[in-house]
This record gives sequence, structure tokens and C-alpha cells, in this order.
Amino acid sequence: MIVVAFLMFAVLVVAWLIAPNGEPKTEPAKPVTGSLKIGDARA
Amino acid sequence: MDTGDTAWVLMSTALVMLMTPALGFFYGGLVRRKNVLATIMHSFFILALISVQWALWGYTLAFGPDKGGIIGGLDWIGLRHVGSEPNPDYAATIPHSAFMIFQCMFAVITPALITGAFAERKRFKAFVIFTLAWATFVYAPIAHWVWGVGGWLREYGALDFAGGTVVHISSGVTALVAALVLGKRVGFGRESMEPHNLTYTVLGAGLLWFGWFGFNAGSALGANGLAANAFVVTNIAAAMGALTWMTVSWLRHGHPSVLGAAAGAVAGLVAITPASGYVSPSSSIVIGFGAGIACFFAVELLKNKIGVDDALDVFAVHGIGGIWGSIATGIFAEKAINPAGADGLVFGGGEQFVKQIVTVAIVVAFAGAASWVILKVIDLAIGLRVPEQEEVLGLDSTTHGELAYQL
Repeated sequence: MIVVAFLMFAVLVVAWLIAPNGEPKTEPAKPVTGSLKIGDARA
Repeated sequence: MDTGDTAWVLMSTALVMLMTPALGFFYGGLVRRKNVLATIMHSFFILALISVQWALWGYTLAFGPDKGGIIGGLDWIGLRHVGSEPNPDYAATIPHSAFMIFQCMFAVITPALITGAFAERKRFKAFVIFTLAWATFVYAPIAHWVWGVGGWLREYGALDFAGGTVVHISSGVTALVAALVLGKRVGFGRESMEPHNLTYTVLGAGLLWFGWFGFNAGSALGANGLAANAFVVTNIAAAMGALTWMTVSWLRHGHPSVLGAAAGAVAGLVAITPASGYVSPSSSIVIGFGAGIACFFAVELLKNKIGVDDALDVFAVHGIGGIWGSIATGIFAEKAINPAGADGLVFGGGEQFVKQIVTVAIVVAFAGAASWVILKVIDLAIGLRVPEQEEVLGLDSTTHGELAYQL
């Protein structure tokens, strides 16, 4: 069982080495200030 | 009476208690911002509701003197005869009341797990009635069958150290049934339903991992070597689940997902739960690895291919993870770890492997059928879903009259 456990961990390490660098997320998150109106900052 | 054992079980009870609010954060981060309070409320409310239900009639039904292997008698209703003296049938070295309150926290978190399936659309009244009915007619019988003295699955030889069948398969299967009975959320598949705050989710996952030490190592019911082994394998399986899910997600989608790491840790914890008192650290690596892969692909299949709106993937993580863990117990269990257990398939115990599969099938069938009946009755009586307009506006404002964020 120890050999199997080592093999499984080795599989993960190899996967990390070959894993791709994905594209950045294109849709930006909604700004949390989106609902603020002009003048709110003075308050 | 042993003071060390008592201290450990009481401490473990507090650890398991923390898991339910932690689950609220885990789920709360996964829903849209208009439903975060309602989602956290599900878990917090259940902590209060089932604590009382358990004291009044839940505990005696689950663990009371056996009635035909099916259910506990009412001898301990209202916690009569449950005091500071040990009950040697369950735990000879701690007060009976300590065992009772430890089990209470399991009864609390199990229905809370289900809430992820019907998040963002279930009527609060229906949720309350469902939770009470489910805890009484589904959780209590299954807990008695598997853990109660005289319970028929316990007599049959089923191994479930800390709740793979009683907690995770029962809740996971019920979640799938609930998702099917309630139907999809308004806009499911057409509009974005991405998690609104993954920091909550990671916080919740971290606290769940912490509390799970009480869940599994506390189930040894003593401060001893068995508890230490359960503690070790719990940590390893959680870690391996996190690493594996994140890796598969990275390979398939191009990013080492934070949500993947958090969900993977929970999947590993679920899978090791039934096995934690019976398997070695090496086996826990295999179990965590299997959980990460199986649960990841279960999510992909259910949500993206079949289109079932189990909103927060309860069946994929708890149902599939629990089934894998329960079967894995029949594969990797060793008498060398726990002489009270059995040898699994890889140690020459084919019989135990079969027993685990039979037990899984029985719990899946009963939990699924009984939950379906309960949901249908409640739907006919008071309706399960909120009106569409309330669902669109969000449950925080329409059901609870409160908002999570004032930004």
C-alpha cells in the first residue's frame, strides 16, 4: 500500500509540472461601488 | 469512568459543533450575495432545532433500547435515564450524557449538509418541517441500524466508524432527491450563478477540516491510539483530496482552483469518515486520491452534463464521497489497525467488502425513498418553493427581511 501511495503522490507532482497556465478570467467582477451615486463619498 | 476519555469526547463535541456554522460559511460563500444570510441561517437554525429535537425524542429513537433492530425505544425520551453514569453498551469510560451530546452534533450537521441542494429557493417553513421530519424518520432509523446496539446493519457487520453511511450517504442521497423534487433555480443554465464570496468558502472549509478531527478521532470515544490513528488518517485524506481535486481541475480547466482545493479537502474528509478507525495512513492517501477524482467528475457529470441543480454539489461531494469511503472501508480496513473491525479486500477480507456494498445500497435506497415521500407530502401541504418573484429578489430580503451587505 505504501508503494501505491507514493505512486499516487508522484502522479500529482508530474501533473503540476505539466499543468497548463490558463487564460485569465475575462469577465471582471462587478465593482462593489457600483451602486454608489455621486455625493455618496461625502457622507 | 476515565477523565482523559471524558475530556476528549467533550472537546470533540465542541469541535463537531463548530462544523455546522462552518458549513454555513462554506455554503454561504457559494451562493449569490442575495441569498447568503438565508444559506447561513439554514445551518445555524438547524444547530438550534435539532439540539432540542435530539434531547426530546431524537436520541432515544437512535440509541435507545433496541426494538427489533429497527429503532430505539422511548425509554430515554426527554433524556430520562441519560445522566453522568456511563452506559457500557456505548462507551464504558465516559458519562452517558457525554456520549449523547457528542452524537447530538452528528444529528445536527447531517440535515445541515442537505441544505446545499435546495439553497436559494426553498421556503423557510418547508425547510423547518422537512428538517424535523427527516431527522425523525430518516436519520434516527439509519443511526440506529448502523450504530445502535441491536441495530440490524450493525449486527450484519457493517463498518462505519464516524458516519460514512449514517451522515454522508444519507444526506447526499437526500440532497439529490431534494434537487430533483424542487426543480432547478430560476435562470439555472441561462445566467451566471457563480459563488459570491469564495473567501467565506475557504474559511468554512478550513473550519470544517479543524472540526473533523473531533468528528473522526472523537468517534474513538476515548483518548487512545485509535483516536490518534483516526486523527492522522483524517488529516492525510483531507490533504490528498485537496491536492487531487485541485490538480484535476487545473488539468481540465487551466487553473489551480481555490474552490477546487476547498471542495477537494471536504471530499477527502467525507471519504475517510467511515474508514478512519480501520485504515492505515498509506490507505488514507489512496482514499483521499480516489475521493478527489470521483467527486470532481461527479460534479462535472451531474451539473454540467445531466443538468441536475443540486445547487452546492451535496450529492457529488457527500453522496459520492460517502459511497466511495464506505466501499473503501471494505477494501482497506485492517484488523492490525483496529481488532474490533475486519480485514478488507486487499487484506483477504472479501466478505467485508460485500457487506459494505450491501450496506451502501440499503442506505441509499431507504434515504432516497423516505426523503422523497417526506418532500412530496410537504410540497402538497404547504409548498416547497418560494414564489418566483421572491426567488429572483433573493431570500435574504424576502424571507428574513435582512441584508448581508450594506455596500
